[in-house]
Amino acid sequence: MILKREKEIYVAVLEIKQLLTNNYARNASLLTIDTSDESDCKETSEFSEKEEDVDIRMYAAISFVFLLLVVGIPLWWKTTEVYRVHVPYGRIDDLKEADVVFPAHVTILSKETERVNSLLKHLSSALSNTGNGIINVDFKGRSDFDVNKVLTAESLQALDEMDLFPNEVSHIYLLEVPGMLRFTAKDVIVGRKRVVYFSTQAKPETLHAVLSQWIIRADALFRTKAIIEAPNEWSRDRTGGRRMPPAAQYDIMFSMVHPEPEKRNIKWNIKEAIRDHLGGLLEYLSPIITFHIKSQWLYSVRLEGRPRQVQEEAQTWYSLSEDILPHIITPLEKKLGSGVSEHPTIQLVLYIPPCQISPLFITSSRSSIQPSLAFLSPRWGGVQIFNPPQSLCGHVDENSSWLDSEAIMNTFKMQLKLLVGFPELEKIGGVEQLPLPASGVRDWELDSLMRIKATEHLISARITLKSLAQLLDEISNIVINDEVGDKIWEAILKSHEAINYIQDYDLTNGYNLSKQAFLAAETAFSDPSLLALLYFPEDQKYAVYIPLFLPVMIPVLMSLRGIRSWWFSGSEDTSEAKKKTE
Amino acid sequence: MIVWAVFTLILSSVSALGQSGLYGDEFHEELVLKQLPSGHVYSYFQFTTLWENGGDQPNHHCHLFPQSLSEVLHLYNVDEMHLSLTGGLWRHENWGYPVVSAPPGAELWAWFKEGTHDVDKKWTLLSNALSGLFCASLNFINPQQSPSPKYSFAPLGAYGSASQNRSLLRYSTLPREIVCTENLTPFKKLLPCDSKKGLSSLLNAGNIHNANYHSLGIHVRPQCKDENCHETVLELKQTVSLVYDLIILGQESRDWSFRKLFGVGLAGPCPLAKSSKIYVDCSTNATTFDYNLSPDPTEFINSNRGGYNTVFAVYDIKKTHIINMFSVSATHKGPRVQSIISPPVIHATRYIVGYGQEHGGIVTKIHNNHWKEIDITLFENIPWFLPTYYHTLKITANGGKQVLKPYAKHYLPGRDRSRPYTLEFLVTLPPRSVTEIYLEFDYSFLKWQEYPPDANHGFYVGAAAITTLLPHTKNYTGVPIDGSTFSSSINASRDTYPVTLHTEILLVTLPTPDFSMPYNVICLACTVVALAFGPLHNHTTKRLQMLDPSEETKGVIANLRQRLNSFLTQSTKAKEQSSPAPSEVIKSPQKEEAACGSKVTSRKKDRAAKSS
Repeated sequence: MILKREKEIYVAVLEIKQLLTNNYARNASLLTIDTSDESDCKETSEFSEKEEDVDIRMYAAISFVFLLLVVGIPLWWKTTEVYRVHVPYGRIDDLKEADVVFPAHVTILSKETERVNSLLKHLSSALSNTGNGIINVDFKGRSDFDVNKVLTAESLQALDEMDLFPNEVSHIYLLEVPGMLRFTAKDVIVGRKRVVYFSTQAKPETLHAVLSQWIIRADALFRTKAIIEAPNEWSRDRTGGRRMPPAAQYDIMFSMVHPEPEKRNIKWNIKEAIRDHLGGLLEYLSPIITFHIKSQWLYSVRLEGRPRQVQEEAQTWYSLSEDILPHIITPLEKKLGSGVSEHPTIQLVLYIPPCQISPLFITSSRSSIQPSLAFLSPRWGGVQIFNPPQSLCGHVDENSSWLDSEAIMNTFKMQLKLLVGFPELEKIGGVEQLPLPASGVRDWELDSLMRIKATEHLISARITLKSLAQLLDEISNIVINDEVGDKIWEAILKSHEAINYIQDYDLTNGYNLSKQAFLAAETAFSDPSLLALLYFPEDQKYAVYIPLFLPVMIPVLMSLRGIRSWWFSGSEDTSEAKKKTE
Repeated sequence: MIVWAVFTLILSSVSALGQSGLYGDEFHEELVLKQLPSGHVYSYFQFTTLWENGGDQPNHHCHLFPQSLSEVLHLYNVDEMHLSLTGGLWRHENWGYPVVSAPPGAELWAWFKEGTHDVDKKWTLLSNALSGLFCASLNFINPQQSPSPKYSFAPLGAYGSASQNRSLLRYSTLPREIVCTENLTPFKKLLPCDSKKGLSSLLNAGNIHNANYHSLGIHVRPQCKDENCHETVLELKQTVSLVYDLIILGQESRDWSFRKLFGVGLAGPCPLAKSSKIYVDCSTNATTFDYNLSPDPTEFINSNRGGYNTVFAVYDIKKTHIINMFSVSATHKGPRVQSIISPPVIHATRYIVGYGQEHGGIVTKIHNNHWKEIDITLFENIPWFLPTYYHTLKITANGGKQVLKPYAKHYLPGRDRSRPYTLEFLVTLPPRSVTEIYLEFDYSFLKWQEYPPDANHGFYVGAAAITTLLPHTKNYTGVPIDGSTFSSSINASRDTYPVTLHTEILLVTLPTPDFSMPYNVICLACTVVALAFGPLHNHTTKRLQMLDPSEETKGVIANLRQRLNSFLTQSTKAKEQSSPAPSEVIKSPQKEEAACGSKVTSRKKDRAAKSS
């Protein structure tokens, strides 16, 4: 019964369907939009209904497209982008053009104007193209000065103390001393401040050698710059290789390594020794470099390596070969400890060998080197061996075991100077220097060091900023927050300021500003907030949003085609309609 | 051999290296061995360094005091610091009181100097620096989970007045930390003799961490130099506490020796130590146990402290001729006796009650075995994710018969993610009673990223600390507050004896979410959007119409489908059946077409042209 009823209904539906198809079969296919004919056919009314319908539908499609493509996608892009403060890429590039040229003055003083002129000519032509434009030497000659003091001086040292000329940074005076033979047989004597004394027989070549190799050192400046800019093509020279890397401050750690305190009782008041012997040097360097001094005693540490026994007629001594010196430092460094401070540490180690291998010396296979007691590891520190008197072994005597502070501290002082960056001066024939002052550093050496370090700071800052800009280009998910942006600006501005100061002959301020610029660039580059989104690269962002956007965008984009054809067919039909009405 | 004998003779004739005059520091090393009534052996190492100029100004020239630790203390303005790393639980009821008490895991508390700005920042930096120094994960300590207790953890240093500014104190505990070789090695590096000479050569990681309870402690505090206390000395105490279960060590015997406990014997004292002594507590020798000590001790000392007498066998290593290796051993005679262990005066336990993952309770049970009342201070530090309800706090004694009222209390409610719940109170325990302290809490549901990698393991709640003053020294071995070395506890009778106990740590299982939900959410949301948006768009921008089959433009898919159909059925019947219908349909419009005229046909043709 039910089946029959269903069949009836089915048949009725089919009939209705036939009727409808008969009615609508006249009409064309689905999507053809036909707004054309408003003729007096019966079908027009049905057509006109559909035309309005088509408009509404198209407007709906257009609104979807507008909302999604014009409003939605830019909003999504903006809200999911990585936070980046504006970085001045242009100004970072500009830094390359602002190359620093150090000015230097050399004044030649002699009572004979002829000598002055000939020296001027020779030296200015010889030093005109040094260092590829890093340092610009300006020569002057003067004959009008008070020569009486020069003639009546008792010794060159006294002459030096007299301060005849203003002692300004980067100003060198070459003073001819008539009758220098009464002081010394050498031709040229370099003073402690910024005066070079030469005799009447001194040759211009000697003066040129002194100026270029010792005082101005344009080659070293050029090399410092080239190494940072093109490290694959250039290698460090000896002095540059020893110099500690640039930093805000340095720590100096004195470690006394004494492996057998039960056999030898060694006493040393380190605090006083440092104050007496190193205090001058540290104070002299304090305007440009800050040091923190620490010290410790290590009692159960031995140096690696088995020394050989050397039997000589009077005594036996033990020798540590030069080849195993590099292997000593690594196990030693484990015990020296790393502190909480962020500054690089200069390690100065004093080793007191155990009784069985005492006295201990370092020997080299090179015949030119005598058995010595100390060695230096570039950019790390120095190790010194002290051999107390053999009679102390086994006796623990309260009184007689104080260390010889002066010899030890002098070696440490020399090692410290080399590590800071002061060069060992090569021998030039006929030239000597006055003995070192109490601080241990000559003023012209300080100038040269400031120039080299300022160059290092400025070039490093520039390279760091450029690397940061390149990284920002390549890796799209690095965050630059406000502080890092500020630091970048600070680095750029301070670099320019430093270069200005240097060119105005104010080397000290220029150096300090260059250090600040370098530190700002380093801080900006190594800020941990840069990598806050390191594990959220761009493709992950797309992967999360694609399942959401794809099913939405496909119908919208497909409807674009329909909209286009409606829009243009609409305009065609209206133009047709216009033609027909005309 | 002769050379060796000569050397040892020289060694033994060496008097103390009196360098304390020049550098102002001295070093002592001590080892205390005690046979506990339960059959365990308790060994306690204490290495004490006293530095005269250490505390006052930043002094960067160190001699015996370790340079790295001195730097940390001065840089962060720390007055007093106590760090302990422990594995295992100290059983107070069986073992008595340790010399230094420590909760399981890591515990760090520090007092900063007066006038320190930004204590929170310095606290974070201090915990990070110590984490690097000792290879322990102390960097998980942050100011948000470090309370400042108000009554407990008074400063043990030389100023000691209880009215210190409590905002300079920070306390934190990490119950999940483990202690192992990695921590022992830097610990030994801080000692002047490292691990080569002296008692520190007995600290072998393989044997030390094999014990039931092993704990490393570093305690720094300023100490009075003399009775007048005009000057202070910086005292560094490095302690190692071990409790060995002799059965586990093998050989099933009750005898112990250095070789069994530490694996090696002792080669000699540390040459830099002013004193190097071993104390063996022989009080139980005649009574509970019966053993012989070999070699013979240097002397026997009777220590009368607070009415209780303890006998110590003392070995002075500096005065001993050591031929091969020095090893103290105890051989038991007679049958094995299991004695009744009388518990100490105060001991406590703590556990969680409740079921389900919505509410729970913490119960701390404190036993008072003394015939008089005793005052205690209880400090509970509950993390912020277990919100506690102060109104549910109940302190009852003797099974609920007596309700106790604390005479001072301090409750600081916690704030989510910024402050833990701190509860501290002072209460008097009735004599011979068991006091129960009950507090209810809720389990809270954390944010997705706050769960640790193994979320179902649970979250740890740190141990509670009970501070009290004992009236007598039964089972008590602590060093008096005005002394530095263990030897100062001999005959050190005082009025009261301060002791700190730590309870167990708790493990709480918080309700954990389903961690795959974010993926599920993304899938669901995208599916819903796709399913909802598609039809919506279709409905608003398209209109369904019946197609005229003759004018139908067949797409690629329709073509393929028809071909497939014809291939499969391979009959022309379907074609014949389908064809009449369209032809019928076509006929009728054509009739009306004629009525409308040529326009209609042209329009149709246009449309046909456009659609093709």
